[in-house]
Amino acid sequence: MPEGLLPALGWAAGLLSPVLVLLFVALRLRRKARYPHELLAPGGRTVRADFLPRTFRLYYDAVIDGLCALAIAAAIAGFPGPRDRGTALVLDCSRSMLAGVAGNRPLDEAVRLALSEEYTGAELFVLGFDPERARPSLGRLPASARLASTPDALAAALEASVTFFSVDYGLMGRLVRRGYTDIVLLTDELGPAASGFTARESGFREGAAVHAATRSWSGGRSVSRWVVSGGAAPTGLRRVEAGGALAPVAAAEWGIEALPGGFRLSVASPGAYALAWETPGGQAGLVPFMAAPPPPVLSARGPVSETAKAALDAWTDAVHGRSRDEYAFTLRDGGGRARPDSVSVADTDAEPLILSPASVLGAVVAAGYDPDADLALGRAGMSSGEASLAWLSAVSAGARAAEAARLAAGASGGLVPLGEGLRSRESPGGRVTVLSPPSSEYWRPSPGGTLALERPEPPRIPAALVLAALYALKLALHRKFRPARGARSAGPST
Amino acid sequence: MPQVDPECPAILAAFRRRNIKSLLPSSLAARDPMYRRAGSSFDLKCIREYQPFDDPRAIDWKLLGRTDRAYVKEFYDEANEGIAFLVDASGSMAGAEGYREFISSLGFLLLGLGLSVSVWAYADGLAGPRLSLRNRGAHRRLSEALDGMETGGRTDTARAWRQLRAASPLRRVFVFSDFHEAGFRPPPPGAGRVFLVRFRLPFSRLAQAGTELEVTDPETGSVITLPWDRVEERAWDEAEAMREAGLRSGGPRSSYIRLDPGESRAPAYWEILERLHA
Repeated sequence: MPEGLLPALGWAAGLLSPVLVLLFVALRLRRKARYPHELLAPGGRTVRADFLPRTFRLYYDAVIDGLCALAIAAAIAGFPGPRDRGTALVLDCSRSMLAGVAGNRPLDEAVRLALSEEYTGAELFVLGFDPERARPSLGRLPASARLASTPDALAAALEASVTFFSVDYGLMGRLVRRGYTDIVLLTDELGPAASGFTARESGFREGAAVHAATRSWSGGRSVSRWVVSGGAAPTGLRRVEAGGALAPVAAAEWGIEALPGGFRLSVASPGAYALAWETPGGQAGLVPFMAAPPPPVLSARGPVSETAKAALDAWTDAVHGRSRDEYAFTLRDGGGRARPDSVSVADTDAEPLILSPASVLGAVVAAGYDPDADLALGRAGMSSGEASLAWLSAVSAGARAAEAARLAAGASGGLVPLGEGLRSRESPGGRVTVLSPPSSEYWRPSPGGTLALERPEPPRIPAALVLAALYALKLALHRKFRPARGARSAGPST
Repeated sequence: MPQVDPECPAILAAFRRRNIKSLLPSSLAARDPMYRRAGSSFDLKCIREYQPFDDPRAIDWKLLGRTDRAYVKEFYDEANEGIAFLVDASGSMAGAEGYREFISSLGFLLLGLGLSVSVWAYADGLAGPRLSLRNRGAHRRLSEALDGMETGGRTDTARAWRQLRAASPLRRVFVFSDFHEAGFRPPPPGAGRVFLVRFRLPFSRLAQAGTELEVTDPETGSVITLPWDRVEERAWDEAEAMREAGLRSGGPRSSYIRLDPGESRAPAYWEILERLHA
């Protein structure tokens, strides 16, 4: 018996009982009359009037109510549920799966497990990264890999056809929605506990790596702090040109300074670079990265914003030096809310609120409320020394949003591999976008927390659409069949 | 016993006053051909020589050609011919409101005007012997006959009409029925005149709008369950319009009178008498 059928029948029985009561009442209230049938159903009757059988017109109300009851019962009981598709085997194709020596990598162990008898009959999915769409993906095994019958062949086919970059485990929720009741993730190390699925971990392999931890614009240069592991050391810097060519960078344009656990790298101009590294054991790699752009050029409209701009300019001059004309950001008095390239401030009398602590580094700054402005400050707020932090936070958020937009625009045309990362296939305006794997691909993920795949609620939209259609039909039939208003015409008397 | 409608005596008196023919001596209304009035019937009374007061159109031109003398043909007046009542006694007429009263009242009027009335009941054919009424005193027999008339059986008006034509030469016929038969068309009146008197009961009088009814056919006994909704109302209206059009399509010598329950019947009496003596 299909799952959920019994509860659905129970609900249906309960919901149909009022309909049956209505039918019984209608039966009891039915009147009797004697009248020649030929006057009611004469031969000359039009077809249009008979578009529905008379029997259905007698009971259409109850029929539609009954159908609604069945639809509601099915919706409440979640019947029919998603089709049980069995076991889904999800192969983690993140960059960390390639760490280690060939033949003993997490990927090799995962494919051995996938082809073992334990998972015979399970469907194999690849959790990877789609370079064309520049986002994590979950799909079936590539066609070239389906033919592989041995673990080594399957691993080789995957390496040739899948981009090992970063993954999004949340995509496995799609499998739950498709009806896979048993989901097994073959990965190296998940970190958080698995809930709603099984994680078969082969163990994280730590290897040599360099990774840019922070990037900023400081002293008129783009500065990035790097962390290293496995004895890796930088050996050279290249600029990524349009088309993917790697051009040397003049020694005067970049500098490197050793730090505990890593180094600080500074370049004179922002853009896409690739850092080569090497270990004493001969292991080498190339990590692409985007050098941080300068802060935006500020403009101000209004006396309050002019004052704020002066303060921010002094601060950016002191900290960053003069900025390049990367993009503009406007401070304005009055309206203009939630714009990506501006922040607006309104003068307010009442200040019953405080600014978000996140925007003023935890300080308490009195504020009012103006639905048309980003900030609403009165006398108390303006006199606070920390109020300028609100502008600075807005400028920083704008800069981050602008850079994210530039990266998304650069990656929209598709990505191609470049060293350990990816490079935009196209270079609009000669600007190249590069992506480097996240730090979780190089360092063991932190334990703690839970990664849960919840079984989704039965979709309500189909039931709602069915009910809407049924009630629309009921309304239409009622309008069609309801008695005409007013007195009937008896026709001419003679 | 069915009562005569109270307005009938007044109608009879008024019609006698305005109808000059009824003022003739009663001897002229006798059955003796010597005293019957000349008129426009096909019953030849005599052939006589043309007189100056005669209508020249009445001259028999064939006789003129043969004899060189002008003759005119005189026919008996058809006004004094009898009238046939064909009364539907099928099952569907059982509940017809005012059915027997109307027929009794009309008989009262016609007998009061000196016309003889022959009554036949019918269902799927003529039923029982005819009732011949020749004077005002015979009206009581008509009322008794109507009172004792039992309804039942299926209606076949066309068959009854054919049987009547074969059994009686009367050319002025009243057919009293509800005319519910599908596709019924009024019979050709021939040289006479036919009056179709319909006793109609709109179904909306029986059914409340928006209700369900269990409708039994009084003639066949079959039962249907009917939702009296807009579709059925519209279908009934359309069918009714077609039925009325069909009943009115009998030509100039056919008259159709419809009687609904609760309506005054006096206009119908006047209309019948006017057309009868037109």
